[in-house]
Amino acid sequence: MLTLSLLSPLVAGLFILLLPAKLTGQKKPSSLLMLVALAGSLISLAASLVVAAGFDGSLDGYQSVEVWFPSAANRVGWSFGVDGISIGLYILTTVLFPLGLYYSYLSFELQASEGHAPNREKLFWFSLLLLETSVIGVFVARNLIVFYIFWELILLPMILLIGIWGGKEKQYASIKFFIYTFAGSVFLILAMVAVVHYNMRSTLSFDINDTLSVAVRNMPLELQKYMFWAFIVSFLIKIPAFPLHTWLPHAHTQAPTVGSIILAGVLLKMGTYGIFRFSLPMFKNISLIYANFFIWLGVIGIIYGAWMAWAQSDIKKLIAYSSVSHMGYILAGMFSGTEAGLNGAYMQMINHGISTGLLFLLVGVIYDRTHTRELADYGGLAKLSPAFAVVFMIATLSSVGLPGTNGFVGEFLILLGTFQKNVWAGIFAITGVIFGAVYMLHLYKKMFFGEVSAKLKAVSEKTSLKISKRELAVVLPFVVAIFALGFKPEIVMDPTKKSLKQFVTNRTSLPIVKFEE
Amino acid sequence: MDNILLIIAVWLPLLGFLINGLLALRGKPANQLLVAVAGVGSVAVSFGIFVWLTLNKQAWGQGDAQIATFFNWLNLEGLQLAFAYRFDGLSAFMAWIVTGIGTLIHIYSTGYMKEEKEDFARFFAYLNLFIFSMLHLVLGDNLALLFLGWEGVGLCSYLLIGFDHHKDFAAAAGKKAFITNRIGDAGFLIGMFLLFNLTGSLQYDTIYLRLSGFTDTAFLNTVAFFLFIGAMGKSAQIPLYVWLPDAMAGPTPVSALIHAATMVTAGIFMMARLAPVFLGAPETSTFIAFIGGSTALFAALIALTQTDIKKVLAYSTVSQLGYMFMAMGVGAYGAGMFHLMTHAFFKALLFLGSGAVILALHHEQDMRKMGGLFKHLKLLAILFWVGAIAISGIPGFSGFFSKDMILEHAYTHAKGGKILFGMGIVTALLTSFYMYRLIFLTFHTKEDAVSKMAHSHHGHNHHGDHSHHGGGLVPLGWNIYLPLVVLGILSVVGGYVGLPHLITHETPAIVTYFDKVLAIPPGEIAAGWKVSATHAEEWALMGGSVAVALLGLVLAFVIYQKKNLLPIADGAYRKPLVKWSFHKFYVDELYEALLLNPIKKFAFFCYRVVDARFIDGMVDGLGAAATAFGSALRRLQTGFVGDYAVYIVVGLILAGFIAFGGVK
Repeated sequence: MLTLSLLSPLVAGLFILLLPAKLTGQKKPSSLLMLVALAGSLISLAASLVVAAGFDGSLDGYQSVEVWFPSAANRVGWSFGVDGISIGLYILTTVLFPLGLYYSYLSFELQASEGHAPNREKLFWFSLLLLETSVIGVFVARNLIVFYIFWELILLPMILLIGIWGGKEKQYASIKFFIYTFAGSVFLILAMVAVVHYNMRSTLSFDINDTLSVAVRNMPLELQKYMFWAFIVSFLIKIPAFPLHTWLPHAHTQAPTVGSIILAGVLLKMGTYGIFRFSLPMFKNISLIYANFFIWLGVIGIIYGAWMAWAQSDIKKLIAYSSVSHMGYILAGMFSGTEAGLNGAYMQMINHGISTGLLFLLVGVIYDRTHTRELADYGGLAKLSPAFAVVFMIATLSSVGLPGTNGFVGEFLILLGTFQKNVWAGIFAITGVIFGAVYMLHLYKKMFFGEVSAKLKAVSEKTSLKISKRELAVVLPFVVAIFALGFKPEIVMDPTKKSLKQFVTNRTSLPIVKFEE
Repeated sequence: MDNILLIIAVWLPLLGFLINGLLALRGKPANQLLVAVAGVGSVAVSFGIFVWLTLNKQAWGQGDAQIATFFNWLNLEGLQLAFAYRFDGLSAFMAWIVTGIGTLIHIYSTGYMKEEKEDFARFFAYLNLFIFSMLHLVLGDNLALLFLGWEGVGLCSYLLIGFDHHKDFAAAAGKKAFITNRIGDAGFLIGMFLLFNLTGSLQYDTIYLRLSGFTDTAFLNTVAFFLFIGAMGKSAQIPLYVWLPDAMAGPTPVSALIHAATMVTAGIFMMARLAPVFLGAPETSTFIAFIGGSTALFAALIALTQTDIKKVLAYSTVSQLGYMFMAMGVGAYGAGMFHLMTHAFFKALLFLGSGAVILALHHEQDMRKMGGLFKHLKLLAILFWVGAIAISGIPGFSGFFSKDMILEHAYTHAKGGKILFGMGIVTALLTSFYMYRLIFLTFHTKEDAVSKMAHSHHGHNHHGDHSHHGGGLVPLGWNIYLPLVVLGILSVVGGYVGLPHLITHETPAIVTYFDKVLAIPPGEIAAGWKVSATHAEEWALMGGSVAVALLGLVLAFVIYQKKNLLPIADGAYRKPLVKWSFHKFYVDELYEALLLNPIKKFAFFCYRVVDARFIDGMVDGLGAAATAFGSALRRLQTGFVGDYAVYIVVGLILAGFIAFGGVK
């Protein structure tokens, strides 16, 4: 099943490339190509749901393991599996892709109705599907080399998506994205080679579990520190953590909507996933030594990201900076070493994919009609497009972590966990609750309230600003997830919490005061 | 069975919300009867269930809580939370007020909002969602659920303040309310986490249990302080009260329900719920009493000169909430809860009454354009008088009993009791004055609002969104009057559950009740918190508070009825103190200049300079440097073999130095 869900998007993508060229180049986007792409992605989703249904959260280690070419398996083996750390992100990926994919088709259609023929459709679908396969690959790889191959493979379709279908400054943004993340990867591969080199003294294996258990034990502490930094710098760039975040606003503003959804939804999580997968288990002691440093880094990210978001006049940039803030929460929670913080961090990874993914989707929906991202051009949308205003409000509430939405559970647990580990960092992190509301409500008020702006008036005379039924169908799963996870967070947390237990270093001597009972 | 009923009572308003929300989303005016049935019905049935549960309840003491668990929320080793509801003496009391007054105000709204055809369903959806959240706040069995309700009511408040969202000031007021409340919420979270660190639980019974042997007052003072910051936000106390007056941008039923009777009392309720924390924190409690007293006085001073009828009532609410905190701060929990109840009655009455006036006058809120309405709206005027008498503290009406109980407890407080009492009694005088000022200006002055209205509509026609039909008053239906009459009756009789012991020679019933139901260790408050007062002193206190109430009435009568003075027009010269009061002591401007603008400027500076120039500049700079270095190296590639030979030699020498340089 894992193999099926991993390869079906790629196969569909290759198939699309083989289809006759005359399908494209029409005024309207080809629905056949979309259907093939969607089929590939949906098969992957179905297979992943089968995996999830069979997943047993009470077990340790990898499940649904599949190995290609078994004879070589113990060396460089193509071996895949999911465990508590990957299952949530894996499902998030397979769910987000078909939604983003179908939305892209709707967006093409809308552009076509305005006379803009779709650009290089076949390559577009192929890139998207290749991206899906590579992201899934990252999350299900059980082998360092395989992990790294997929990790790097992601850059290719992503650059194509930004560089070909992006906005005005697409070249600058795509190159910056490439060089910045690639620079991080260089450290990563160096560190991986070093770890495997040390590993070889016992058994030659690139298997992640072997590496984790054996490799580092053989390493001198000083070297471990270098290795730790080499790993984590690459992850910090991907997250992105302050001050390594400046590629993100450019990439987001220039990427096409689906690129932003995927980037915010799952690609950023590769950084935090890497920390869960490698940094924390491999470098337990060193993580503990640096824990407060990374908590503070996260807290700075929370506040700094929020302030930056507040200062933006471009809607997509505002949401991009909100990602910096939200990812700061995750970083702080992960390094708190508390049960609440770790589980909250994992929850927040999924939440951020949902709420920020939805925000980018909604901004795409309105951008397709208005062709402007300038906040100043907006105003009074609630009057013109009430249903759209409602879903945007729901996304906003999830983003500010209102109780009852998914966002609250993650944020609450992270804040609690951070507070338990480091009271002052916790207090500063809590101010993020205020600033989060400041920039999101600022955005909402400017876009939706007040009188209808001149720009929107002009646009609404030509085309309807109302969200279409099919777009609503794409939005609905996000909305359902926001409330479902808000009231029943165990959907995400139950399969995961056992795997996170190993990272709990701070068993908060509760209660801090002994009582006579 | 009872547990299922309890859960139904809490969740029923959500059903109302869903029905009305879907109706609102259809984009055309909904059937008002259907909306009203769903909207009013869900809350009324919920109220009925609470009544039934109360009648069925055997005992009300501590440990007699009925706890109904609906489903699990969080299930971690160190933190288990459930959607569980706690029906005990305190939450039952609150649930009655929330759903009881809630039902009345929902009924009223069917009349008040009936002209808003497009937004009728949306309005009821929000109101229902508010009741749902408020019930979580008061009935939730753990602090996280309380917080869910706490933020939920904040959301509803935000949505309802900005209900007319095309109006910029309404949208801005909503945002201001939400963000100010979030500041409080941040403090509340800190308090909650501290309490969690202490007790290892967020569930009330466990917290009570763990706190029972705990006497570290320094720690509890800190916890109580942070929790109180949350209360400052939600219950509009200094320095976080600034959102409440602006919140009057919302429709008047909202002001009555959320911004007077229920939501803003959440802070008081929270203190009662966590009484063991606050009772273990004497210094913070005294601090709270003083914040309450200052707020009471300060807001009353502002109310003196306001000309918008709803603004007067808004500042009055802030002021009355100050009284409640004064009570809670001196440990008089019963008195605080008592005033919470009577205030809910008479302030809801006054707000709904003012709404009726506003409605009758085609959405006119300026009292200078009112007057003489007694002739036209006799029943309304009488009900308004009932409310005013109740709030001003004239004996026999509910406000007298509750306010007097607070003043008495303030007087006998061990730390600064006399000062607190002084603040309270001056506030009482001001309260009486501004209330009767409101009454005279609205209902009695010689000039008639109806003729004023006809006059002003000749010239210009603002309020473009409401149809004007000449000068006549808009007729008020039964659904406007019914809730007013019920609240009027309650404003009179509501005080008799707390007859002063001076008269009855026993502890007031309501105090006995709260002593029994709150998690207060017996005899706890008496020790160290109180000084005793003689009988004569107590009579003097009561006499004094009656005297100032009458004095306020006389002053208002002389100035506004006898001399027929109108508050002067905006922009005219005012004496300094009047000017300061009229401009709300410039607190909004002060916050903007000292807090908001500096932070905003700093954030924008950070973006323009730190982020765009420095951090990103460094990244781009690195890129540029690499490019420059590359092009410099490119020049070495000359293509001449001779050059390459030189490089090889130089390289070899360098390599030799590096390899063997260390070896001496």
